[in-house]
Amino acid sequence: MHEQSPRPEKSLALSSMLELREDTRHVWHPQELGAILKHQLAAPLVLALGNSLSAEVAHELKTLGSPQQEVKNLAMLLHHPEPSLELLSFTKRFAKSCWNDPDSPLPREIAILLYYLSIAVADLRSGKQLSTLGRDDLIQGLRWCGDQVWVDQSTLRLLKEALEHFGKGREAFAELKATMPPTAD
Amino acid sequence: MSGHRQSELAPFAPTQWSLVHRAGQTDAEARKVSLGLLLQRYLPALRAYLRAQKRFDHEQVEDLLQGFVAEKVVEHNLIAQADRQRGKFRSFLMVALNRYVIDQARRAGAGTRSTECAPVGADAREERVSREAQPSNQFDIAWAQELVAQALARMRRECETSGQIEVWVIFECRVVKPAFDGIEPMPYELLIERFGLQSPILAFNLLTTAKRKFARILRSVAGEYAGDSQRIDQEIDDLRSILSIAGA
Repeated sequence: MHEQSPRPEKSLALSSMLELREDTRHVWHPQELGAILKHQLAAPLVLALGNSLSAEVAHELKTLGSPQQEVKNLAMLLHHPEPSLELLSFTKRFAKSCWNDPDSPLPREIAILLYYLSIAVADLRSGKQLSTLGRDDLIQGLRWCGDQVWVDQSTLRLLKEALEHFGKGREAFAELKATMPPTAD
Repeated sequence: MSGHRQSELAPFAPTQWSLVHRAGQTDAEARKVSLGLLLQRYLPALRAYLRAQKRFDHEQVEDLLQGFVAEKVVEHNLIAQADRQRGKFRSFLMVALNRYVIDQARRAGAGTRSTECAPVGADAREERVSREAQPSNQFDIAWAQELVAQALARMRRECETSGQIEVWVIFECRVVKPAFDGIEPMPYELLIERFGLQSPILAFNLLTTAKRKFARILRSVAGEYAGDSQRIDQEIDDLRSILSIAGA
């Protein structure tokens, strides 16, 4: 670099380097969301939900009964027939904090997906409400999630099941639109 | 924390004006060492300025710089005339170089110098000088390039010596090479595989650490030239504006 004259295209590169500073946003590119979601769903639960919840998550994992002991990651939790409500609640808390935090370690889109999925799965499998979010808002959020091209097939099936559960059926899922989800409750 | 960082960077951090002060002294040894350091820092930018803005070829640039250093910097002790109150040292240096180039063009045009001493053709040089008689942003662009190059070299060195080579590698693969070589950033899947990262949070933390480290080192390097914190911010903002306009 020392021996080359600065060229216009290099000027933009240099400018981007000077802009880095303390900004931690935009670490990942939009086309990487699928890979990040896959990684997040497969990550050990104590690592996936952040430092602030890791102790609580570890404690909960130790106290789980036999049907749930096999749960090692978010994918297993979300697809479990009898998921731990406590772990789903932790997932919702973590997702909500990431959604609201501009410096979140998780892309906002993935935080939104985890937020709605954790609420929907709790209702779907246990009939429990983790949130005061209205049903219409929840459906709107789930539709938004289902419309994202980076969501994997397994998660899409879960979203579809949740939408059907919430009474909108196949039509609701077929009419997915790229609307932004409502804000977290 | 700041004390730790200061000591960590101490071997690299004689400040700009302390070097200028020492280079302007009469103590021959101190002057020689400080001049050497100053020239090491500024010659790449001066070279780029002559080449890109004045359109001199490689040989002409080297001849002009050699003459400038020998006549103005060493013989006339140019550095002793630099005054912190009157602005940036690099502006002072560039104005002096510009004057030297104009002077050389005039002398060559008046036929007062032999061909050997006037490396650039008189007509061509007169034209170049009249085209760009005033200091230019080109020098600032070259300067930004030098600043970033120094910060990158220092970051790499720091990562290597502190056992954090993965911080440098992730920064190089995701930020530096895409910015300067136009190649795609290392894909997320490859990145987590290469570094054995178990969750997106760990990947985020590693890349964020790298970006923050570079930002800190860049400020530290800029601080050696700019002085206090406010001037560092101003310096970086100014360079960024110039670069954005140049690249637009």
